[in-house]
Amino acid sequence: MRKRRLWAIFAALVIFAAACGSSEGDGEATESAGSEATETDDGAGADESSPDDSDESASTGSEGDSAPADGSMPDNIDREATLIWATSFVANSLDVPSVSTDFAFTHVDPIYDTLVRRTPSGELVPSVAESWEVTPEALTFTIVEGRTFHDDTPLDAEAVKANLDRIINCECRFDVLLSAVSSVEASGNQVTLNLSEPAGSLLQVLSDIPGMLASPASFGNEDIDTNPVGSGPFTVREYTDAGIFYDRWDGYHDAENTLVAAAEVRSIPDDNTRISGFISGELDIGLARLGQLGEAEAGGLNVLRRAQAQIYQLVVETDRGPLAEPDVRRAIGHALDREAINQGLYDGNCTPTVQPFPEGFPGYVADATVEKYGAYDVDLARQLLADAGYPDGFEISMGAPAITNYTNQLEIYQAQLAEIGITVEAIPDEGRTFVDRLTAGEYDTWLGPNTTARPSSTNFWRAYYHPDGARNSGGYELPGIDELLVNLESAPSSEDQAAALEALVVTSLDEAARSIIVCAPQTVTVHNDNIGGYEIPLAGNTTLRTVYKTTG
Amino acid sequence: MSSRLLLRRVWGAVVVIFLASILVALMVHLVPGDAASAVAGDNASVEQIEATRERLGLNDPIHVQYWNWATDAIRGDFGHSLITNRPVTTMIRQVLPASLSITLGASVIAVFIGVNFGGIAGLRRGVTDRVASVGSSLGIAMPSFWVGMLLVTFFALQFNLFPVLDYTPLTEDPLGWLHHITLPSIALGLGMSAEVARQTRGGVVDVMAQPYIRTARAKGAPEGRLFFRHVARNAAIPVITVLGLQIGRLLGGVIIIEQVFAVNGLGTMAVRAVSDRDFPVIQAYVLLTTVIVVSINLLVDLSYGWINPRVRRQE
Repeated sequence: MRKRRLWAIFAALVIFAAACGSSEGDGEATESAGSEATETDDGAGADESSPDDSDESASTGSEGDSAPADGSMPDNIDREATLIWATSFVANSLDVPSVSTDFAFTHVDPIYDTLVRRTPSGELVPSVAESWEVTPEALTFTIVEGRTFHDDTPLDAEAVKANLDRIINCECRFDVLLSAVSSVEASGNQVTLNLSEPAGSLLQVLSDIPGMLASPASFGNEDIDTNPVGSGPFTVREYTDAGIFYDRWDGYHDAENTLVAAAEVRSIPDDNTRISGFISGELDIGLARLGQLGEAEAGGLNVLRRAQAQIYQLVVETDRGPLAEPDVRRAIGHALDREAINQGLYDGNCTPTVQPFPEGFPGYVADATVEKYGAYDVDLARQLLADAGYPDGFEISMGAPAITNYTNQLEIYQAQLAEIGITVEAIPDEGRTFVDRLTAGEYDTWLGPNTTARPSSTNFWRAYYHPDGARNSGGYELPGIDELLVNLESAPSSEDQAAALEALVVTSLDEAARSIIVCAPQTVTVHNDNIGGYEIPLAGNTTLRTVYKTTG
Repeated sequence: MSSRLLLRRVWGAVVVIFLASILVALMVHLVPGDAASAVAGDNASVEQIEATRERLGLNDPIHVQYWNWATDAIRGDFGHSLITNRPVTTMIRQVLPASLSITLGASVIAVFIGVNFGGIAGLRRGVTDRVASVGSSLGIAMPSFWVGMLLVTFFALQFNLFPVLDYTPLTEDPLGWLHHITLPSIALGLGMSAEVARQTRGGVVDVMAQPYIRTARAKGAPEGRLFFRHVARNAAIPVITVLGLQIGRLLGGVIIIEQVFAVNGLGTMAVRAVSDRDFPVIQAYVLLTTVIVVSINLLVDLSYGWINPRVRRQE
């Protein structure tokens, strides 16, 4: 009898514990590093969202994000609050030339102003430059007078020139973005960038990390990586691996619109820990994964979702064997069941697509549908392989970041390609190793996320489709890429730029180019009830400047 | 313990640390491919890779490289992080207290739970013993990260008794420190407590079967005195051995626990360093944990003689 009672208690305990466990975790419980931590982007390829406004001279006006993005300003904003944003990765440095990923925009944006700013909807608006003028030979900015950096160094044309010269000569990942600038001149309150070639995307580049302005007096500081001096609304109080801690700078020209007294950007790699932090109220706002939507809503969090210019893709190195054949690449495209991936891995939140830009975005091609370019058709895929001379298939290697999200994709691609006789050797690698190996061309194919318009769309096309591209170890050349890029950079209007982007999209699809795009994931941000003023930016340049906390 | 034996043990520990330091210092050469290229990064030019090689001293003979690294390390200078350019010593100073606090907390919990439950189970055979055995089996079987998630769900999210995240330094706020390390310490210490309970129970059962216990009982020794004077002392040796061995496991386990509770500790730093191939940080981490584990095992060795005079005489 006593024995039976003991067993009953034991069984009850086990069931209780199991029930508790099921409320946590969605298969990514043990993920130790967020996907962003191994983001492959190196400045070549990113997201943009903006209608390209580089052709337009902007008039003087208020900065695009100096007020809450939703337009409503509640009465009970707590201006003495500390705002805590949580993300999955650590910024390696706060010094502009050393920043290693575009995702660090959120970390450095509170510190630095830029010549122009990009609003969440993608519009370019004045900031340190009150206006600008674009000609085929030069880009001239007129600098707002009377501003200073945190150390009281004047933020004038000379300071802007010093920053631009520093980036142009940095031998870092940003110098290539300003390669069209042959020289920089400062005169009075004007800075002129002389151009050696058309550079229509330069305004977007300068609205992003490469355009962030630091005090020239700080360039030689030993602690510039952790204690930078900018002219933005916040100064850095402390930099640790756990996060960056900021204080409001009362000397900011728009300090009345800096709506919190302090801010923190916390680095929490584990997705479950982060979501628990939001639910417990220890974190205010930040990133969540698609698989956590249910948990976030059950925890009473507000969920924001938006399709940014971001894709999941399978990239093929075309300098080897069968992968050099366009029909083989087409076959791979038809062998992937995008809808099954969307439903199976992402609960319908990763829209199947074959093109790099979302609907409504410049460059989106309405009739470049999955049905037309990548319909799931195993028989057709087999036929294409046979026509290309590989009826029995072949073997390839496939690299991926060793993170649950991507290893899941890896397994699915492996299984789906096996259906047409392609044997995939799956190679999940840790972040740094993955980037090193794909750069060295050690994988036949590889997968990962990519933003497609940051700092500008040009970078995506140059990185993947130009033989000198940073993400093109196989030296693939999209037919006519040089001319297509010149058309894009020299387009006189935003409509022309969109048309040039569409031409690139169509050409890449017709040629079955090397990036086999699978789906476009939605970006998810969650926040507590007392948080407002945030909008997910189309381009991915997440800023906290407009976010506020309310009392009560 | 004789001073000669003490010296022998200390010398053994020094040799282990020395050998580990050689491996750690030359770790950069064990990376597949060119170490300078790996350190210089993705887009480094040939000149930049050569400059990196020179900066890291990779052109020097191996013994010179070791000597330079070891003398700097002894002075507490482990160089700068290749990723953040911050002094590694500063990074370790920032994160070490959190990891040590959790490890210490876990050890205290493990000893408290393990010794008490194991002792009771060993003394009172029957149902108590069986419950303790099942409990310790469960404790060993449950992964610490899962226990951590359960604790977060109930005690942090459900009842708001403890925070989910972070660490507060002891010097800043002692109560806040205790508040923050409680759940991580329990999550980490529970598995170890099960191991300690098993060893304690086994030790107690063994000692209780010894003739001198029967003799003491026959002579009318009170149970309390019997336990503390004869049983506990003799049963302690296997328990302390397990504790020493488990410290290494705790230093490994704390890596996971720090992820679950978003604590910026030694483990978090190590994970990032490995992912980024940040060699100076990895070298410092490996050497530091080696020194900690070797030192604790040395203390365990030395404690045997102190606990049990018979061991002292045998030595």
